[in-house]
Amino acid sequence: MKISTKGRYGLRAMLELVRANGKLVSLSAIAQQESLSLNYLESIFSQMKHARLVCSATGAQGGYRLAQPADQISAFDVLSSLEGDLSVTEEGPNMPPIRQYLTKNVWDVIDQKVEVILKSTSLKDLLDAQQKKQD
Amino acid sequence: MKLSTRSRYALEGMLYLAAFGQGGPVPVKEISEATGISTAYLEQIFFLLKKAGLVVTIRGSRGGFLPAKPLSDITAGMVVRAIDGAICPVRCVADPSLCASNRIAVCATRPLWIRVANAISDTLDGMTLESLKNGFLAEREVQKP
Repeated sequence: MKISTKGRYGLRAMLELVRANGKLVSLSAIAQQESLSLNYLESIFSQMKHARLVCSATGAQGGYRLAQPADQISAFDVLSSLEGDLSVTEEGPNMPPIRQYLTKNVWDVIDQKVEVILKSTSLKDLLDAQQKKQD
Repeated sequence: MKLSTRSRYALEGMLYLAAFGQGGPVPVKEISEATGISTAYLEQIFFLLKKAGLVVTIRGSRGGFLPAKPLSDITAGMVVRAIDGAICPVRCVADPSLCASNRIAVCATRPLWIRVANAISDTLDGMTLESLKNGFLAEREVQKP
């Protein structure tokens, strides 16, 4: 599994949309709130829009909102829309036997465990946990 | 996320020692031939493994590396940590002061990264070189024609 800066920022930005509760949020507001660059957010949101995780409205009051309810979007959905393959290893043909063995019995096992965590955690879960902590 | 290629190669090197060393030292050249990893890269890796106390060097014409402890006392987690340092998908898990935006108190994603880091650590710590060696050799046996 690999998690890039892009994936982490995307996830944080999505939580801003969850907090907005269906209202449109402008990228400049997210940029300010999360201390992220606007350019970077534009590239992140264009990928997440492509993955149908967010929809946008143009115009002066425009912005983004979630395309699905917050409990239907998992951390895995967000990260994989931004990273493609989350696997730690690059698998190739003709791997030496030791690499083949470790890929199957160690690295793939890790990938699967991480995938389970990310798939079972929704955006709503993340925000709920945080709000519980703040109470 | 940091599970570097270098740490994966380190585990390959250690498993090679475990499976084929038969208690004696193995030259880097032999590991290189079996794994396809360059000797220069392997030497870098074994330098770190030695520093972490996981292998020892035997000098001389029949020299090489051998595990510094019983195989059941070396975990995959130790090998990966010897190379990468702490196992964490995101830097702020190990050191909150590295948070790029200083929003640690309110960060809703850090708890997720901590869970991911723990899952990776637990998995690697639960695997010893002994168990990996046995699994590897058993599989090789099955695959023999």
